[in-house]
Amino acid sequence: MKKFPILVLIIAFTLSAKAQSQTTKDLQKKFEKSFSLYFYKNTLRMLNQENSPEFDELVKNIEKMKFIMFDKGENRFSTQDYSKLLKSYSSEAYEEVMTSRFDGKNFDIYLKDQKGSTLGTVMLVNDSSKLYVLDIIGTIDVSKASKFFSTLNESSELGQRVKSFMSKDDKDKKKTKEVVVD
Amino acid sequence: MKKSVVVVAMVMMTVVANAQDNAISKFFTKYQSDDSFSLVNISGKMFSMMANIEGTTAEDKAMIGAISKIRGLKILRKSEARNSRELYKEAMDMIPTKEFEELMSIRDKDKDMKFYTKEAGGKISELVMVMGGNEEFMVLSIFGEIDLKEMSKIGKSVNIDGLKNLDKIKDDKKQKKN
Repeated sequence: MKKFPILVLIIAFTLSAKAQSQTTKDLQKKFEKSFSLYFYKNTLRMLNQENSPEFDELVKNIEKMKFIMFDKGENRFSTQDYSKLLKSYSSEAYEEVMTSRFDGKNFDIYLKDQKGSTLGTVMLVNDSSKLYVLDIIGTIDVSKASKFFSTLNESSELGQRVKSFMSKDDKDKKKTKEVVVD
Repeated sequence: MKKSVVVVAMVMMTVVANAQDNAISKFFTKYQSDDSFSLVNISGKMFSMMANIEGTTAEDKAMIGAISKIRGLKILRKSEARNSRELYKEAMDMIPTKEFEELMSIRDKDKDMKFYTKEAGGKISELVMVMGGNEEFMVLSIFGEIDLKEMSKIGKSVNIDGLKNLDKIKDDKKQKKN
């Protein structure tokens, strides 16, 4: 009988370790009209229609990815709100591994790990008009983090892929999309 | 009674150890919230993650090995800075000259650039670069176990302008021999 609660605890712990950040969930809930995308491992591979080995390499360790983007002006999202958001990730045991600011844009990376294995990665771009949040279960090659930055900014590979993927589905004008293939 | 003295001493030592941060920490703390500065702050964990990348050539492997020993990188930069000369002087004054040795200085047109290193146990534990021009200022600190030969390559690969100048160390040494 005693074994049962222990088992439940272990399962609950495993699930919570693999779950997406509560901060991201709360952010999405608060700004429910934000543009959101969910990707799973196979969906990410689907985006790679040109069969680029580089892209496969970039996403190979991602289990699930959530992308949120919204207009800060429309949503009255201030600099203080951004600072609070970062603190909230820290309070969830996400560790700040990179912070940067250039031309008024913030680019920050937070990481959650357990015994050396990465459970989650959060990348945030905060520019003058928009906030972009990429919440990843798993990890990406951090040497390509700058690529993700330019991605979210405008035109890098993943950005273009997401854009072209989205343009195919533009007829369906849902703000939130969930793509599950697994 | 003895125990409490030991505990207090240990706490004090921990506080002092934590206070001994890298050379530009004070400067960084002072200006990091100033939006007119660009900044980059990368933790050791990020570098150790980069070390998991598999290099294909011997050169790549050497560079990855050097990256894995870096414990942190901090950069503060200000462009179109009217007070660039004052910032340069302020940063230079903060470098503890007893601990740091001047490695190289460069004057390029209006820009002055100085590199300093701190050694511990025969190894470079921190590299500091301060650059000041008429309207440009930059300070950079890399700490951990620094391999100068690889730093210039890392500088090129991650596009950090100042670090590329470490290539000139070889030339400087040749000139000194002559």
